[in-house]
Amino acid sequence: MTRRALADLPLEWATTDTITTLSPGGAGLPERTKALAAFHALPTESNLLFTGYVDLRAAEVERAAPAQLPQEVRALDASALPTGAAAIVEISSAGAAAFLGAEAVAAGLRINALSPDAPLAGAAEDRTAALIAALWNIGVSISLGAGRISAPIVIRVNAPEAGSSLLARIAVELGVGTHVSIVEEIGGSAAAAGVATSLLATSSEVTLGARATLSLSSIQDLPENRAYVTVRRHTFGEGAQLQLAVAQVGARLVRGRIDHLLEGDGSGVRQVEVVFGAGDQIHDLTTYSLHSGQKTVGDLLAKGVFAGSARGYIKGVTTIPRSGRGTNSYLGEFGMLLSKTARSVAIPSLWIDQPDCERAAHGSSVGPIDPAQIFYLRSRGLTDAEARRTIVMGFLEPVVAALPLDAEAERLREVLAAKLDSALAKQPATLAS
Amino acid sequence: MTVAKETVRDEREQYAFHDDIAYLRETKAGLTEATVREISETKDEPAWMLEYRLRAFKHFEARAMPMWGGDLTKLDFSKIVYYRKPSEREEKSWDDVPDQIKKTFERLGIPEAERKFLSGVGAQYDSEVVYHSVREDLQKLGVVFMGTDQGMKEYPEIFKKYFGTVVPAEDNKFAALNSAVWSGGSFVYVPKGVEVPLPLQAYFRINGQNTGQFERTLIVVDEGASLHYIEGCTAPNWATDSLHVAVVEVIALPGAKVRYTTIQNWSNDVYNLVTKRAHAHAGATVEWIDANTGAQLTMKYPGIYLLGEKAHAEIVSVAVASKGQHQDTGAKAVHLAPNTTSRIVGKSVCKDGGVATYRGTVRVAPGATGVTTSVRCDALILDEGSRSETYPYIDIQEDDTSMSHEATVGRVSDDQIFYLMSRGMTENEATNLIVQGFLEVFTKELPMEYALEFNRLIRLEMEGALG
Repeated sequence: MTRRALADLPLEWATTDTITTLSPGGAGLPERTKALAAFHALPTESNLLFTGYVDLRAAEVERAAPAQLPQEVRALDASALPTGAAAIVEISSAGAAAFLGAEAVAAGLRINALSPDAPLAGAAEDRTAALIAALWNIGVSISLGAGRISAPIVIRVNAPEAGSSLLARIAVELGVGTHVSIVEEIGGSAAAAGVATSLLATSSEVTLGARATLSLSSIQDLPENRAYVTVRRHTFGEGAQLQLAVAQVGARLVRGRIDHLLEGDGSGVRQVEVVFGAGDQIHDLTTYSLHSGQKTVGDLLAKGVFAGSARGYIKGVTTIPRSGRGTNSYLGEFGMLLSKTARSVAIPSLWIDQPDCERAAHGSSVGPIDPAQIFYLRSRGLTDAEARRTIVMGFLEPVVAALPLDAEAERLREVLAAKLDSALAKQPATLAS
Repeated sequence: MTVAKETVRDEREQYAFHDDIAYLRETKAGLTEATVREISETKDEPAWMLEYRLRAFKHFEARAMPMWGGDLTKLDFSKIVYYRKPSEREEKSWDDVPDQIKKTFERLGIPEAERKFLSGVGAQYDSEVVYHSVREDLQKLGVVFMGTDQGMKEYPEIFKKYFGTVVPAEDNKFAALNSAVWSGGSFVYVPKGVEVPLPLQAYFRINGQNTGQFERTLIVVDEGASLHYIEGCTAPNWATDSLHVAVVEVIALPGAKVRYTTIQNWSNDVYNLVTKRAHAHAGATVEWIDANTGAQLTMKYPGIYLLGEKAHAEIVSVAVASKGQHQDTGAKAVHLAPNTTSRIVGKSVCKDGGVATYRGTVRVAPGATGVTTSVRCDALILDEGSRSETYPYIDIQEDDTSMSHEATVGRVSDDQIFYLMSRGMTENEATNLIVQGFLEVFTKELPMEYALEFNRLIRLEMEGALG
């Protein structure tokens, strides 16, 4: 198998010709041209953590060019709306489609195609963002000017088939005092594990107005022959709050970047991220939080379970510039290794210029399943395998419990349990104690 | 009740003098292959060492400057004088050391310290070691403590077996530089089972303007033996940059116990770019106790490679960064054998615009089962304009590792200051006490005399820290 870094991937389709094709009538072409230049100029890793870990091996997506898709959001049938949801958005290689339930319509929720010249913030500094800004072939804008929608908006992203790429942008704009919850399901049709031959790239661009609250959950359960790169950028108005729960379960390789720009005074983010790697999966995830506002809160928790020969690189960069007085920030990265060939790397870093902070802390741990816990559970009548399963599921439960829809939480539990059972079954020797 | 307030005299000036010395030999400023050959020739070295130096020099030239860490853009290698020889030879008797150099070290209190509480003392002045002595009873037991150049000549077997094995010449750009132009440093050998009861101390002094000091220390502690080695560093404050690029290699053979303590107080024009690494064999314990208060830029990450089963690593690294200083320090523990343990404690204080960086690595390699490791790194920022950075790298490749890491960054709490002030202290005294308490993890590891000195140094650093 050839092993290369994303930086080395030729991406034969990252050319002026492709972006011209993706800009019918020239709309958005200047933005794409700038981003394409940035993509070619930027290093794969633009932060200062200097890891050699950013390589995205085993992706062969050089020829998987993104196709031109219809730049409109089709209407879906009412039957597509999941039970308990306010609206549904579907994004796939066929384009984008949506259906708004009664509550969403009444609240004034708008779901449209993203304007071709909408800039993607961060594209000048981050290579993945630049890739998406240059070559996105589908974009959806979701906005709510005022009011609350209690039921969640479900966004389904279907990965492209082998040999093609889908680069999707989802922009969310929430007005002053609004409240919304969003559930993202990122999946695709099952396929054999192996070298990733199709690329899914997504950007989630969220702007929160003053005092807006958003609960955003994302479950990524892609088949294991997909490469997945993702950028999320959250900009906070005064007092805005974000609850973010992300589960990264599938894909052969995942490279993710999350930016929290806590500009508004009193804004806050609570993030729980769970990563479950098995087989030959590689997860490379970095969360940046910038506390430029005063009295901002960042409570970030990442949990990783790695089995087989999976590798997980979980990184964090928390920055408190001089303007960020009275902030409260915590960054926790916790790993559990289920096999001798798995690898977990944690780099929770802090850059602090302001001494006036309520809390600036980070913590991390990596450990095996505690034998005392297994002993206890076995003394209560569980088998060894059941005990291990219970402990691992308990380790991941904080993320599962953060999902707003019960059905989603249950689905994630099933996904995790199935993956865990399969991982445990593959390594009886390691786990027999 | 009147509280007698201790006044702290600022005696830093006593280290800030320099001697106008006529060097017996010095190379021209700048570094070329000819400089390397000249140094080797002056030292009348064996051919293999010249080859080693030239290989290292080639690597130094080819290797790019590190893109991380502190700002090295103003470091001009062409302005540095790479070799300055102040005296004819290394003396064993203090009386034989040239007068001017003797006076320098007397002002710094070195011979006095030896008489009082050390097993042996070494002193290096610019490029060469001028004095080394070790207590007679230890000498009889076979303890060797001498300049590294002399060690190479007198103990070629031990020297050749271990030199460059812990820090290869190609390890990093600065290790390559040191390997090319090294001069001086300590060579220590403690034979099997010998416990050296009191510390051995080496004292490093940069005197000349634009001097580069490239000492090379090699410490081999044989099976079951123990050693505590202490080093201290000072330099006068020239307005131009000096360079200190040391390589320290420590080998703790099975069951050995080594503690290496550094109190680094270079003047604020010194670039301090040091590679310190130890190999801990089965059942051995290595402790780095490292404090950095001086230099304009320090990049130093004492490392321990745990090569044998049940080896233990302990690293305590403290740094105080004041105006114009960047202390980029940390620790590295690499677990390569089963049932090894490590503990890292990093503490930093920054003030008056100083930058304190903790940069540390814990790595557990495949095969290193049953590892337990903990990392704690805390930082205090005393004012706005100062900066604290933390970069912990944790790389675990064994499933039964138990690793924990914690870090906090903050200021001195108002409640603590208020409490201490209510007990009669001024704000400055209260802050001092809190900072001393914060760094106590380091001071408590020092012999008492050093702990007192270090606390005094911290108080001096803290003078006027608040308004």
